[in-house]
Amino acid sequence: MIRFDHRADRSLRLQPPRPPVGNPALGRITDDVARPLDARPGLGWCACFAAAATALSIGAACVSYEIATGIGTWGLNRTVGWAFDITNFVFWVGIGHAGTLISAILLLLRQQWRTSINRSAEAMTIFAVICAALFPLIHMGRPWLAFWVFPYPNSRGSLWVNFRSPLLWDVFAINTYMTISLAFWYIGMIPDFATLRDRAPAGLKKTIYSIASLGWNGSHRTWSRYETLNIILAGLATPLVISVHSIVSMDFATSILPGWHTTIFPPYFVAGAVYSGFGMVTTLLILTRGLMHLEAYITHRHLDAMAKVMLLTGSIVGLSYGTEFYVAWLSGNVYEQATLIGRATGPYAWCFWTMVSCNALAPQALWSKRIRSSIPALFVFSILVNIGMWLERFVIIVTSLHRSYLPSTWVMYRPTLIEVGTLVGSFGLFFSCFLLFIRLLPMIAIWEVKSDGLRAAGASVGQVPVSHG
Amino acid sequence: MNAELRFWKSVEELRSDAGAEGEVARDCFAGQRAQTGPPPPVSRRDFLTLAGFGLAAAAAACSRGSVQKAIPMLNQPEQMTPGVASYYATTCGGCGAGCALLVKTRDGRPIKIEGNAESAVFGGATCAAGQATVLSLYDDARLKGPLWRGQPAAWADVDAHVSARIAAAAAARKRVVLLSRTILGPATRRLVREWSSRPGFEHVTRDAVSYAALRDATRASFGVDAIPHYRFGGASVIVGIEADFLGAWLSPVEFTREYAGRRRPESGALMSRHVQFESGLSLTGSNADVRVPIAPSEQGLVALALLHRIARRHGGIEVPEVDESSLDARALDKAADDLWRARGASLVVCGAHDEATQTLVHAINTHLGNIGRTVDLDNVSLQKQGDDAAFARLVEDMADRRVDVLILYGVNPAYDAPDADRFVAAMERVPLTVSFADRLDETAARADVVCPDHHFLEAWGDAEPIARVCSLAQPTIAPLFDTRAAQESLLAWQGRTPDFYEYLRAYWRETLFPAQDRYDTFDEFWDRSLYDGVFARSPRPASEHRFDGDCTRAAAGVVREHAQTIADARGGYHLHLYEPVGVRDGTNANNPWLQELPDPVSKVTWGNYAAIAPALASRLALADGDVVAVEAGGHRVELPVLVQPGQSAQTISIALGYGRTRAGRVAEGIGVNAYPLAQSIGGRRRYARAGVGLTRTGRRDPLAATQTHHSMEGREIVKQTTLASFLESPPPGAEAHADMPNLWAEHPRGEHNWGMAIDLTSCTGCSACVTACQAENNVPVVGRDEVRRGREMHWIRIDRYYAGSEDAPETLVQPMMCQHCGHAPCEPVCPVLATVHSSDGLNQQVYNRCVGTRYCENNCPYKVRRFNWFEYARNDRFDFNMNSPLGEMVLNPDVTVRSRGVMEKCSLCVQRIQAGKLEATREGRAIADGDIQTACQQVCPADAIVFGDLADPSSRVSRLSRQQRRYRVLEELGTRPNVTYLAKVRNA
Repeated sequence: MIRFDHRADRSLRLQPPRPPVGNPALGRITDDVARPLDARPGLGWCACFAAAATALSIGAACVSYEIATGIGTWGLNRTVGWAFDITNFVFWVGIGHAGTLISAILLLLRQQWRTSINRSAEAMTIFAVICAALFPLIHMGRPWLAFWVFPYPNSRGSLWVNFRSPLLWDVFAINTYMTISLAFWYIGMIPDFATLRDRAPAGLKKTIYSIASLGWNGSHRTWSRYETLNIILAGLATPLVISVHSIVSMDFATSILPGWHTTIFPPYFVAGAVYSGFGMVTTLLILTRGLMHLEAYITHRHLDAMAKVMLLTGSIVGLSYGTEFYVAWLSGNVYEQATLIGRATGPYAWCFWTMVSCNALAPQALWSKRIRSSIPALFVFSILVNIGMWLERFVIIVTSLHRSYLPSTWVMYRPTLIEVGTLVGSFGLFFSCFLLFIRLLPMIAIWEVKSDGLRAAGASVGQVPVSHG
Repeated sequence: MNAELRFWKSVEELRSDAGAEGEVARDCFAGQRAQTGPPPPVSRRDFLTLAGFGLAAAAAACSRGSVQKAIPMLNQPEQMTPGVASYYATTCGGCGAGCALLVKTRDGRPIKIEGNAESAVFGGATCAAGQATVLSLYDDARLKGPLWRGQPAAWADVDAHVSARIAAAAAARKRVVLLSRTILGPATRRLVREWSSRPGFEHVTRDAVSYAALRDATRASFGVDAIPHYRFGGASVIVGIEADFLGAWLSPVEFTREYAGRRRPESGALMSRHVQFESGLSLTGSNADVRVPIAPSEQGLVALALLHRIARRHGGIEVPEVDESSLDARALDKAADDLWRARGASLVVCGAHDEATQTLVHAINTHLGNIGRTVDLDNVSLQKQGDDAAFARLVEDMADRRVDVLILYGVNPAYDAPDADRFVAAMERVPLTVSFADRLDETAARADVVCPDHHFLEAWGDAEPIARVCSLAQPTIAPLFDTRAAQESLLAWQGRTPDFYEYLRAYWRETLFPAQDRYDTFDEFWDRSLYDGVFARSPRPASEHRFDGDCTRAAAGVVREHAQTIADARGGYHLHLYEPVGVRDGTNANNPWLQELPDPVSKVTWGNYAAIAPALASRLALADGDVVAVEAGGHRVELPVLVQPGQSAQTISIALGYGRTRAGRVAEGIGVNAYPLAQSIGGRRRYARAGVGLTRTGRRDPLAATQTHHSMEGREIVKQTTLASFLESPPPGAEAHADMPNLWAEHPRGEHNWGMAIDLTSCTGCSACVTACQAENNVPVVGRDEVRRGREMHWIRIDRYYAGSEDAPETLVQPMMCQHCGHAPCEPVCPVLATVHSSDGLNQQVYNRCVGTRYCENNCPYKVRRFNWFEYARNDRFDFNMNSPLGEMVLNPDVTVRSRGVMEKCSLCVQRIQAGKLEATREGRAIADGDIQTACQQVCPADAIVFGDLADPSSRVSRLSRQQRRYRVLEELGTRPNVTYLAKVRNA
């Protein structure tokens, strides 16, 4: 017979759910969340969207030019075959991780504070993965043949793909990730679509919400199955948080290049991904809570919790940096040692030290409660995280490539305007999508926030008359 | 459409002038615009027509690109099978060396140059410049026909006019001068002799880069009016003084071949020892066992100091003492010791452009007993016969209006004379100047008539580069343009039948046929000679040659000259001008292959630079690419700096051959012309001077170098040892990294396992293989800007590393191409299986399948993969040979022209492997070792590259791969390369 340890039992006890600030009425919650969907866009939103759309246009122009002319429009050369392209890819995949972590892992861990931020975090995941998927596509010399990376029956003597190639693993990892994230996001929105459907006047909007809500009726049976599905999807998504970035890291770890060929990469990349993802979520939430007046829902408590996650993951990343150097010293491998010393002292040393400052040193400031509770400080910090994590991928890719085994092949890499424009464009795409999202879809999970409020009041979810707003 | 054809609608329009035409057009528009009111309704018919057209257009737009059909010939020419290459023996016209060639033609087009293995002197090798000559054939800048005062003319008119003028001049007892470069062909020589034997007719020979001092010294010392034939193969000890004999001096292919033959460490004491005294780090100096940097003004002192030491050992010879304070006495002592020990089997060669220095060198060789052994005065070199004094007299005569007709044949003094302005001014005073130039070059542009000569691949001819070593030249293609052999022009203007072929045959019948006894009829002899390409008569036996030179006077001259230079140089630098390995004297500057060929030592492409010593660079705070102004003798050039380790401390080295203004599109704006910086002392050209100014301009012009890091960083990439320690205890070889366990399964093994062995001891780094590979494998030229961005496409490169001190570094070279790894890191990472392993041990790149992720490039530890960053063929941004129908003719039809976005790399000439297999199958036999040669192997004058079947334990490559010196680069990674290197052994 198994005997339970009561201490363990106590530790597993759920934290009491916390309703939004001021514990607003349920109808008020719906109104607050649906307000941006009904109202005309504000000046702030329009300005942001104009900026994002401009950036997106720049990116579109750069990508079109590159595809029409050749990869030579980038600054790559015979030694450095990847730089901005794959840096951007890994950066955006990493950004996506926070969304999955917040919605799936925190759901499984019953972290109730996640409810008001999980929807936008999931949206961020989707958009980040779209941005990420763009780069493997456009970095190909012949992107019009990109479908060859899919294993499909064909007439070329049934020529198969190379299952040994980490790039192929990437294809599967990213596709799986995209599919699960999309399903999870959409299914999470169904009750909210029903809420919106019920309060919308007859017309196009109502029709769209009716279709999107898949005939949701709010019955007990529906709710019960819905919650089960949610947990199952969360369970499916959870390993992806670990696997996707582990597989992305294998693009590097399975190669033989000094600076890439490192077993520490999978956990190091996952920690970095979560760190960068939380950085981006923080940036976005600080912006949206101001822009959409949702201070009551996205509170200091949320930001504080995210800051703690960043403190943890940033420290793991910092430890990984140290470990890389230690292992290089321990291995006695001259190539590995030269690459790492080159990183810290070579021509790209400024990238390395900026990266170390942003990713390993800056998060240490978060030990201070004062900084964690200062919105401007957190905003600046979140931008530093984004810069630092982008540079981390750049440093890993470029400093390892530009000086590898044979010194005769050592070169410098300098990005062209086209590459910078493409990076700007990916931010444009991301923010355009995100800004459209907060205008067109409920950016806070109405039903989850409400259930928090009700749980606080001692009721169970099943009793909530959600469909009646 | 015929541009002449004019369409008209009315008689008024036809008869009207342009103004009325414009009115008609305007009226038309006005009429259309004026049409107002609702548009006419679309009828059912119109609708169906438009819909049908739209559908058809949409369908047509979906079709594939236009199909180009290769239509077979109705009447197949004899000896030509489509898809089968024919080879023709001929003689190279790339430089003055006259190497025997074998030219590969496909469907009537010459596409590849090979050396003629029948030639005992040159062997089956060529140099980079020789390889590239086939591309010069298809040069857009070549003249398409004769020009009369800049306008296209007919040959008949030109002939009538020129003949009349020559006849008039002859009648009036005025002078008609033929100014030519060295004429290698004995038949042409006789033709020119006949031409110039008439009264008033004269022939002056002039080479772009002068060798006159050496020739004059030989005449003065031995009474032989020629340059000796140097036999490096007989030399156990070689001392070079500023002679880049492996790179560009006199006959580099022959010299490299002989030199490398004595660089085999396995032969023990037979391995030669090479000491080089020079200013800039030349290809030859980079190969020397001991290299001593000297200022150009010290060449004579070095010769004198050596002579002094030799004389002391010899006894009985008086040589005046000399102040040696500026020289490295220890190196001189050692060199003299070595030379003395190897008397009769040693050789001192000198590239000085000073007769006194050359006289001293002749004296050294005489006292060492080398005359008749390594210095052959009986079978002399006929490669450089330029007479500087005669040319100087000619320019004066022209300036004084004493020349009536000047015919220029293969010369371009307006570009390469130190005082080109004087020549140009003098040319203005010649009533008629005729040029045989193949393009409107700097001189031809100022000539009255240009009668373009054939490219040598279109022409009949012969050559006798070394006395009694003859070769024939035959056309490998019908003339592409309306050109005519220069010999035929000369014949025509003498009123003779302009048929040089018959003339050539007659010459051979009269002169060479009687000199042999193998063939009874001349036709037999001729056919055989044409087939072989070469005809060598037995060399004259060595005869006694007394040294008559005046050493005392020469020594005094050297000392006086040195003192003078020191006085001149106050506050200034020394200047050293040299012929680079790629574009040489500049004649072939419009050749993109040569422009993109990295200099064997500096690795810089596309243009020249001022090479300065590292110490000088740090003193002046100059770095690579800083533009400086170099001023000498009233001339000023601006060019970027290259910090060159091993450069003599106060000397600036600048390559000749660049800065062409009228060579063609490719050469335009590339580098600066350094010829005006040379001196002309009493008509003698001197490619060095003192008192040269160097000032910073503040501009930057980054060098287009293919290698920017020069240290091996302590890694064991090029292994080297000394001969003594090699003989004492041979290196452990590959045992250090015996095949390590591997997780991957072995590749299935087929019948063969192709591999390569490269001997780093014999490889000089001459880079002929780079151009050969480019020609064989359709490797695109990318241009200066792309090389600056690190995107050169060469499949084989020569890595060059410096070791030791910056002032006197050791130079190590290593040809590097795809290593065809047994466990290739590039293979598992490709997502689409575009790079795979063949059962013959090849790492194959499948262009069709490649999507261009570049992961293979990143994961290649040797970085030998090349990505097509752009569409290089038929792209105006890369306006080199692959962008014109003419230039495309050089492409090898057996090798795909790669499109943009795909990866490429060395295939070990898989098309040659395939051809060899087919040939063996057709003949029903197994492939024999040596049947298949890769392009880099075939061209190598040093025989440093050996390709073959590693599965056959008796093949040459297998035997080499088992040698003590063997190792594989980065084998500790477990890549198991199929390319083996043999460690460098220095006889130091």
